[in-house]
Amino acid sequence: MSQNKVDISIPQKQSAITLVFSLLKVLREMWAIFVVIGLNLFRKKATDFTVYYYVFGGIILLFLIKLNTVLSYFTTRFYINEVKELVHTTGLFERKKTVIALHNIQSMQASQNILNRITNTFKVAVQTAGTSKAEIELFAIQKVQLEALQTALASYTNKQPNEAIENQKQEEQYNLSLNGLLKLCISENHLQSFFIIAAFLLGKLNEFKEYISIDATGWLEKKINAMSSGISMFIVFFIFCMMIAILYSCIRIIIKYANFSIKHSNTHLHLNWGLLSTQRKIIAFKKIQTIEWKSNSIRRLLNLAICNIVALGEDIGKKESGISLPITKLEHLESIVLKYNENLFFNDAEALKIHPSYILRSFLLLALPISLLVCLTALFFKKYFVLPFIFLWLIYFLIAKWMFRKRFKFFLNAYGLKIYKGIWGTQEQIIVWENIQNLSISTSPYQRSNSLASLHLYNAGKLISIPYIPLSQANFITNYALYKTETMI
Amino acid sequence: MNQNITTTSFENLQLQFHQIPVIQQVALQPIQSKYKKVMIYSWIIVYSILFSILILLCFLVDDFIQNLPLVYGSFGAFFAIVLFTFLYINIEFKNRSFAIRQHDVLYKSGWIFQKTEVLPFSKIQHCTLSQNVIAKKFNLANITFYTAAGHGGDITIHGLIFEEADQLKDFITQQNKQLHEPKQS
Repeated sequence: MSQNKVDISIPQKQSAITLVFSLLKVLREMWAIFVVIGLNLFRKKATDFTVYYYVFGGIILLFLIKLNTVLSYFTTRFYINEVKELVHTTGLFERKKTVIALHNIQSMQASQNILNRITNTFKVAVQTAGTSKAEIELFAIQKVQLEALQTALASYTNKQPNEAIENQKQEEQYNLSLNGLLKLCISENHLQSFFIIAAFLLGKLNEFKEYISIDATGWLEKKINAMSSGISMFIVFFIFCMMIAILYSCIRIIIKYANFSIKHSNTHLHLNWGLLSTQRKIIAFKKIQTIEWKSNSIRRLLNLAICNIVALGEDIGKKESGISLPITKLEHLESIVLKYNENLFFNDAEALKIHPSYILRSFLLLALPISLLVCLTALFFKKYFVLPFIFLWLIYFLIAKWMFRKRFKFFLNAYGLKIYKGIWGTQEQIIVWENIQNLSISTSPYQRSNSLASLHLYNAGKLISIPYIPLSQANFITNYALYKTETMI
Repeated sequence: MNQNITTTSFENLQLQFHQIPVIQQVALQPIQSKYKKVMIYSWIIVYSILFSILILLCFLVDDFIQNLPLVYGSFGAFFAIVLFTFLYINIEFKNRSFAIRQHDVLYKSGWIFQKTEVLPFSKIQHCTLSQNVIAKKFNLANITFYTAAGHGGDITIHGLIFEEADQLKDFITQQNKQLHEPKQS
């Protein structure tokens, strides 16, 4: 049993290395200003030195304003008071005191970047429910301080401190092997990476085209026109771009998932990952709102999945919220779900499907108006080459909706709901009735005349929609979910 | 089938589906009719500003006034949107209704696409009352219930009498407190 050398009830200071972090943070916030000023000066080749005085005067003024961030190190303290609240005080000119009751803390994330690793310190972010960013952020605290914080939090959550520590010792472990990492690299969506790189580079080149004298869009147009004359040139260009994309996504996967390990006790999931920056995260099972896992076609062949866990306190404002866990064996996934809730197995449940009219109605309500609008705009501006693309998109839309409807299934049991869906890949979601925050039933005129409805379930992290199901079914699910939520003690 | 099994410390009674309360049977209460005026006045202000901008364009931009099809098109589209808005308000307003049950709040809205939202009290993080200048004139208020689900999971009931909205806020806060007190003790 590890002994905590720190009494967390006494106000604690951060490590002195925080000063460096604060300084770097200020510089990072101001980098765009430096670039713009620098490029402007370079472009104008100013000979009048008064310009430089104004520029550097401005930078110094800005830096003085930001000095508060740097010097707040000296006033920052954190501790847990006698009424079990985490208290964080900071600020030089404007004092700020944040008090969070321990039972309201949804997650505490500890991470290490290179500087943290050199100095053996940890960055800590503390989050509560319904917020998009950390309420308390500590740039560098000692390992003993982190352990003291974690022990205090875990012991309060479990209400049995000794048992919690005992449980942590009996954790099972799953490490992502090199083989698994390679499989993940191979099965990554390289096409998506290609478009991400292309969009990023084009955006940045256009942003700075005035300064670097390169018109990226114009260059690309020229190249595409040149390529249309020779198919071999196009193939070479495509292969080259794909190679860059594959390299990029492999590097991204290695940085993200290297040293990945999962441990789980009866109450918590312990995660470690990262190559350059080591991330550590502890999630209480009872705070998990949704568990979902996805596989694309290649990953399905390789028996791989990416499991996304959304817990209370995660950045729920983001489109892709939650923590992604690479799963190389189905048993690992089953064991996580089993630990989360042992009743969430739907082998005997009847598979329920969405109504066939979903395909045509989506086409009429969404695809057709959009394509008509684009067609009219294209005709107005005499850009006739757009029309075949719209036609192709309409065909793709119909096929995608057909696939979606065909594969969409949902299962209910007394404890929760499971959704199986996907167009080209597969996605499965599991939620517990009690975690639903809000429900809504929406209907269009067609749905009303055919006794159909779309059901939307909101939980803290995900919106789960089940479109075009019988109204009676939507009502039943709503009533049952409400009953389960409202009778929960 | 419906056996009542009682033990000394724990009860787990069998429940029939017809015993679960259903939302379809709830008698929804319409919102204050005065709120329609608030909506109309608010939109009149918005459209007056937009109309002024359109007029200014006619006077300030020569190319705009000289292009008659563009002028007719812009004014035609503007009045069509105004007409649709007021038509929408008139019809949609009839569908706005709400209900407060023992454990949750229901809110129905929409015209072409209708929506019924249900929010259990136990999931409410906090609630706020709000009034704009026009609503204040009519003594009306909006009440918003916030959940941990973020923006998509929040419900706003518009057009309640201010005092009633305030009472509702107190009632829900009280209910929520009662629900969470045993956990915190």
